[in-house]
Amino acid sequence: MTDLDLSAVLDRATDGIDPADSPQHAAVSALARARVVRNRRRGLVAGAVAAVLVLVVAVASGVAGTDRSEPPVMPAPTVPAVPDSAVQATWDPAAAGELPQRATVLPTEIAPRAATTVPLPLTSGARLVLADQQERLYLLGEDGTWASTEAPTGSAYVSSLSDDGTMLANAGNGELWVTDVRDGAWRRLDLPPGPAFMWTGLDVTMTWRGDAQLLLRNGGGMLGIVDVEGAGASEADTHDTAQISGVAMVPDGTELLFGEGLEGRVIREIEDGKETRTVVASALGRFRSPLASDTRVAGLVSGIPRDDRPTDHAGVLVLDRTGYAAQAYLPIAGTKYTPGVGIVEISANGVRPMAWLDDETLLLDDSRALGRPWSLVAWDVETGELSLVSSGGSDTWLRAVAGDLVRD
Amino acid sequence: MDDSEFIDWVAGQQRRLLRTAYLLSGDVHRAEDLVQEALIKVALRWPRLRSGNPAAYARQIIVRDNISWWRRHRRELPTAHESEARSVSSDPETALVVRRALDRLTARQRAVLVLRHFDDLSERETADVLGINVGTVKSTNATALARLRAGAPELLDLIGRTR
Repeated sequence: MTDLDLSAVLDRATDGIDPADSPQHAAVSALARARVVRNRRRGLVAGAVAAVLVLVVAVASGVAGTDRSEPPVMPAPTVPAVPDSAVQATWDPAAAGELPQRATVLPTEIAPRAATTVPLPLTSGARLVLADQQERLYLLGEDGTWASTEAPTGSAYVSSLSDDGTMLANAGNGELWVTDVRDGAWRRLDLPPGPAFMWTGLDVTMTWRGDAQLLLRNGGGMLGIVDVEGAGASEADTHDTAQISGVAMVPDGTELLFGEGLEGRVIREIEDGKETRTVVASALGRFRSPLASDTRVAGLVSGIPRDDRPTDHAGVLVLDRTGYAAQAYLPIAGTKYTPGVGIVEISANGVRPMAWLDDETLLLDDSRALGRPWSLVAWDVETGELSLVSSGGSDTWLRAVAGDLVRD
Repeated sequence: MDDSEFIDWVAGQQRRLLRTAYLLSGDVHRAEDLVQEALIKVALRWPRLRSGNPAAYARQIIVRDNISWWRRHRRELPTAHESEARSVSSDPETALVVRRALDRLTARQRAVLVLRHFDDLSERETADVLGINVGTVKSTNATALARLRAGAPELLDLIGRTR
């Protein structure tokens, strides 16, 4: 079987395929959809203005109309308690090195070598970013190149990559900086209102809204929004949600807020700046470090708050996006849940979700202590199977991965 | 953004991308969906891609989205039908044999085979699209060809006839 022969057969097997759409129509349709996605990501004011106009018209209609009866208030749906069937065997991350190896786009050993590491920029996006104890950041490019840069804030701990791996943000010491990894020039950004240290502490988490906006959540549960192009920063509209425990972006642009509402603990879905759904999620406890795929959302909880199991381990919980029913719970060894006391902040004994490798496989970071080797582990949430993806040395630790660039 | 430039690019690439997507997915309708999603993603990044290789990016999106789909729905793969074969090729018998032969491969093997032998990408380019190293491309290609030789003798017969 020669290349030429096979090529000829493949060519003949498809020579009758013609697009159903004209190129003009397909291109215009793609451009229109791209604009919708872009607008969603940037949360254009137009969406909010339209929502306000709709509200004004609705209120005006109500005032002018003869029927003053109030519409029935529908209670928000409630997330069911985590069923026993979702609870998987407790996993001890100390044994990560004994797991079977899984092949992914990431190298099995993640270790930048001084001799081959170049200064930023990279020629393409970065798959992940590491930090060393000298506050230097190391980026693994799509082509396998390692590049490094000083953390501009002097603290490498809070760093985040956009999903496409092109934008890198670094917060610390009262400052927030951002760079396009393909040009390597750092720019300092404004912070939302309030003391600068409130938005740049070690308890801050960053979530990219596309590659143009950053959502900052601080340890006090406040949410700020920063325009990466330098158009300013403000507190984010949380739609009557306080004590935000996490925020996640679904690939279609929907924003998921986890926090406290009048209804109790809630999950709010925000599209185009407008709340489209609220689900009461008190049964889940505080849900942190959420990470969404098209069909699921994963996060950390301090345990399963049920009367009959008050001391369950903290762990990683996966919810179905349709009704936020729990599908899988991976308890982490070495943690204990005490009712009323949340023990999980940004990891459970060093374990935290980093990215979805595909719709059923979650990439977990296991960095139990600084100065010790760490690993990346894949968890098939349907089968419960765990496998080792990559291992890192004790002189670096993982800070962020680019969701789009680590998918299988 | 210059829309006409993007439209011209689509006009030049759409059919080729669709044929690639069909060989990868084995389903015309899904191939159309894969291509349309890829075009949207190219449109989103057009200002950055236009001076580079947008077709390579589009191909990368198609391949990866297809592999993701395959992982989720591998148990639902449609079987090959003559009616579809007639719609994709002037030689339905060849289309049917190719379709059944490709169905014997894993998603990655199929992707390597299509990119190397239909899209005529180099091993390096194929590795870049799939996000794997060149050595893996070589070994996957060899495994895929071996699997076809062993399991799809009707494809070998066809190749004999093209000589």
